[in-house]
Amino acid sequence: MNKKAIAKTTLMLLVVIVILLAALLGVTIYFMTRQPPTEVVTLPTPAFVTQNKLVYESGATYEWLDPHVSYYQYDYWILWHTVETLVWYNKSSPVDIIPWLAESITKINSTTYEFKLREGITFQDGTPFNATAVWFSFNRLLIIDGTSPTGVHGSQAAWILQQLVDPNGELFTAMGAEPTYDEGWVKKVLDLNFVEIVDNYRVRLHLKVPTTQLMAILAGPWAAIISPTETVKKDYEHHQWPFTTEQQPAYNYTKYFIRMAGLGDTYFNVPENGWRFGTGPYYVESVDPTTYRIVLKAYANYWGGPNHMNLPPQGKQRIQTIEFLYQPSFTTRLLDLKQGKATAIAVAEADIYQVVDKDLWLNQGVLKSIIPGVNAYGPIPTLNTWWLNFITNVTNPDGSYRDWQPFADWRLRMAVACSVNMTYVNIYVNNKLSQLAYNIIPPGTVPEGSYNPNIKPKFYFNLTLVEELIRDAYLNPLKSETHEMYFYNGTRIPPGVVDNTFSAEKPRVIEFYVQSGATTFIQILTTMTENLNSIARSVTGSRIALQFRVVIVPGGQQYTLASRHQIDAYMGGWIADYNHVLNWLMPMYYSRGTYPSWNQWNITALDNLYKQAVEADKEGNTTKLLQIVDQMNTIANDLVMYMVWWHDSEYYIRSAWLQGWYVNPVFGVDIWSTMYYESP
Amino acid sequence: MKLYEYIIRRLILLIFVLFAVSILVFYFTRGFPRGIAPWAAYIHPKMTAEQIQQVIKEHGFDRPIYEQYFYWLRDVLRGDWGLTGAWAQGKPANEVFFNHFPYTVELSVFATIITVAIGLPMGIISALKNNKLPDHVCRVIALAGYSTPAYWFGFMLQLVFFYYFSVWGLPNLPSSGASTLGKPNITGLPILDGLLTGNFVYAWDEFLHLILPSFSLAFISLGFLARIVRASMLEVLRQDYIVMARSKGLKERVVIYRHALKNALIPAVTLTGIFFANLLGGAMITEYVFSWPGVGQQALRAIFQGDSNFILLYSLVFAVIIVLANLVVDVLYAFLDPRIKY
Repeated sequence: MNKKAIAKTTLMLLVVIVILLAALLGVTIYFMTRQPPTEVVTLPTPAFVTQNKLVYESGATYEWLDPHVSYYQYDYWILWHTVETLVWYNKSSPVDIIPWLAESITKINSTTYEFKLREGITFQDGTPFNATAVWFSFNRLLIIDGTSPTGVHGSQAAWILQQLVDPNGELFTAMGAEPTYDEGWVKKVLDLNFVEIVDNYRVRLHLKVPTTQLMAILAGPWAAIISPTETVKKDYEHHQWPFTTEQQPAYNYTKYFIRMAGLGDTYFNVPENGWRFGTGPYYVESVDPTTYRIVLKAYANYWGGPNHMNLPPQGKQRIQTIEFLYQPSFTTRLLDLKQGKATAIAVAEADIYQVVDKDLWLNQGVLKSIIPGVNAYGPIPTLNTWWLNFITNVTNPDGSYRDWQPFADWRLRMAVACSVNMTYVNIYVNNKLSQLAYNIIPPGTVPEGSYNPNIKPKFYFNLTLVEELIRDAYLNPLKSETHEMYFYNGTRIPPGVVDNTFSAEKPRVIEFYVQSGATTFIQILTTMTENLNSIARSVTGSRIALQFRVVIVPGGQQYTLASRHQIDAYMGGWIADYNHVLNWLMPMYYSRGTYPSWNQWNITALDNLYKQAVEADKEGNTTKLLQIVDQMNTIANDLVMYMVWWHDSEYYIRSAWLQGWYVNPVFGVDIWSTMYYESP
Repeated sequence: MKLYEYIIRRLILLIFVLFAVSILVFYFTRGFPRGIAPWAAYIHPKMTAEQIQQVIKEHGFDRPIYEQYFYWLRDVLRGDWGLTGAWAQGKPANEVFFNHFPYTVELSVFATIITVAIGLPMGIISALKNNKLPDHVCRVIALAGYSTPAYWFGFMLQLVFFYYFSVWGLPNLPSSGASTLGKPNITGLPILDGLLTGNFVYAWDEFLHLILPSFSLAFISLGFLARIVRASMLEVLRQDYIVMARSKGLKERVVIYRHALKNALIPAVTLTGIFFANLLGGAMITEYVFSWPGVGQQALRAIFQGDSNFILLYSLVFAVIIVLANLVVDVLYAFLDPRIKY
């Protein structure tokens, strides 16, 4: 064979590649040059329809799937398909809580409620739902005591129930106690008698303090009722404890509790081989910790929810399988949705206009999908607020107190807050995807009237005012020597400790921390710093006297630094754990709450009002409670305690084959047990 | 110097390389920009202030950054690579790493096979048809290969072989993920385990899932390989012994395959080892696009979460792989080319 022949042979091998690349090039050119499609691309019936399964793809992964451990939105979504609570929301209502596993509820006195349980309901492992299961579930939540295997979230959701039985912080960590998790402690918890078994289908819950929050608290995933036998069996296997010795011939739940005291490491966090311990419409078939794939299967003996409201309409077939898949790339997710591999995908706000018609939304407020065979639902307001936090007492990394405390100065907080036109950025940067906030409380918060748009922020876009404020702060800097200033603990800051002087000789920097990937926030904060830097330069006549910067850090880092008071300002957000205004007042305004303690705000007036709000709640005096809420919002707005931005809404991108869609805004999730497939 | 002396010398050098890499990565993850609390993964909400202080003291988190390094080194030498954050359920970093590593190995092996299977003939044909149409075609492909962003090429493959093949009613390849028809439970390598356990459906499905990501990953390196083989082949074809072989009247096939190709392949063979190591470490973006459950994807998540323990482990393992691959290549060179002496 000569050289020519050899070349011919090897050339053959290349033909395939050339064709491949030519095809690729052709497709690319086609897409780059084509006009918008005039005809609808018809795909065969999607595989998820023929297989009667729902495939959801997102860039999120689960953390802990044990409802008594979990404290994470994505976990809750999975949990709502598998476990149920005594009470829950009436379909898409965020306020109408109805008996669910309970048949009826009777208020015996201000701290005692009797729940008549539904009969004939079975857990997915075949055991009956009854009063023992309620007693077991609530006590398990209390006894695990808010632990998680790593404790990454700090206190887990157990505190929500614990506040009802341990208001003085005598037993539980989150309430302020430092317990030793031994047999004696378990006995003390059980002696609280939070759940009293009246008979097989009747329990009484005994609270230590009256509250109107009870039903909202019991409607959360942490209050899920689970099968005691399945739970004990699986946890004994997981920890290789002597099941036969301790739990046979009869189950001894107290022994189980002693072992589980303060222990968040449970089988159900990552149930690789699935679980069947709920009463919900689906059970967990498998969880793959390598691919993060979670498979749920329809529970054949599911009771259907009150009036069968948690199942598809009669004659429609239930979706048999639900798959939660991890797909970090949005482009791939979108392709999967278009092709029919995925039924539903997660779409970040920044990507929403790849799916919906931007002009239609911006001009007419109509959310319409631009992808054939795909529906867009929303906006659904959720109980959520975003804002910029100001830390008033910043410490150095070595723990010492910093002499530069810009946000202890109202003028600088106000200057920062006035440096951007929030109405404008919400339209042109945020694409009108949120509702501007007037104060920290979002619309829809219980009791009705908690959200009051008449309590408006003190700040407004005004660059002249910004200049005046910065000039004043420049000429008359805040100093502990000349001003009355206080540490977070209430003691006076001695003279010489704080000196907010800034000049070319004493240059200062103010940093806004924001987490990477939050593109909208970064864009807005960058605009703010540009405005502020320009004004600071003109006021001080120096480029370096006072500089503003945006610092982008990995997710979570800003919170770590904020909790140690080491940064000036950072973006913060809160989504209500449960829908009640007290769940906002505590973390946002009370000095021992999350954000005031991080931001080092200790306002006596707010503390007093918070205590009055708790009292008003105990009395069931809604009018008084709402008045207090208004007062607290007014004080916080006057102080510019937070630069409130907006309340987010949720958007749902789903295949048009999915019918009967609804969402509950409290947890921001759509529940697929009621849905079914039908040709769009 | 004898070969074994050379190997020992290189292995000693490896220790210094790892030392340098670990110092750099340690500084960038723990000391820059500032203060991710590295003890966050170790503490528990139930811990008292004293217990938290104990953890901080034990791992040296209260020490200056250069001292912290030695505490970390001490822990690593004891086999404790630290814990991950909630993104990996707080598992030990090494457990997370080695759960996912086989997937990356599998992907890289296939990508290497594709690189060799396509890059090698491309290089040969380019050399034999020097400056003619086939050479130009190969040059375009090679250039496209190493100038195309991996994520874009990945999306294009998904668009054509997954989406449009579906639209056209053709059998399509999976867009992303690994097979769900089985579990790797012997070696951790899904296809191999599928074959070993007789689960051929799983092995085949996994193979189908591998095609797009491995081709996407290989596209960069096959261009390089083709260019190297071409250059090497051209050089060999001009050697006197090739002229001699032809003048002796040997058939062109014998001249090319027996005399020219053997020598021209020396740099290609050695470079393949480097390619494999680079593919192992460079699969991060491909794994992201294709949701491939390899270790690169986990590293990306760890970076976003600022998880220094996992990033340190990832960097060091790949530093070892790259250095060892270079060593193997050097040694291989000596075997393949008797002129090379160390």
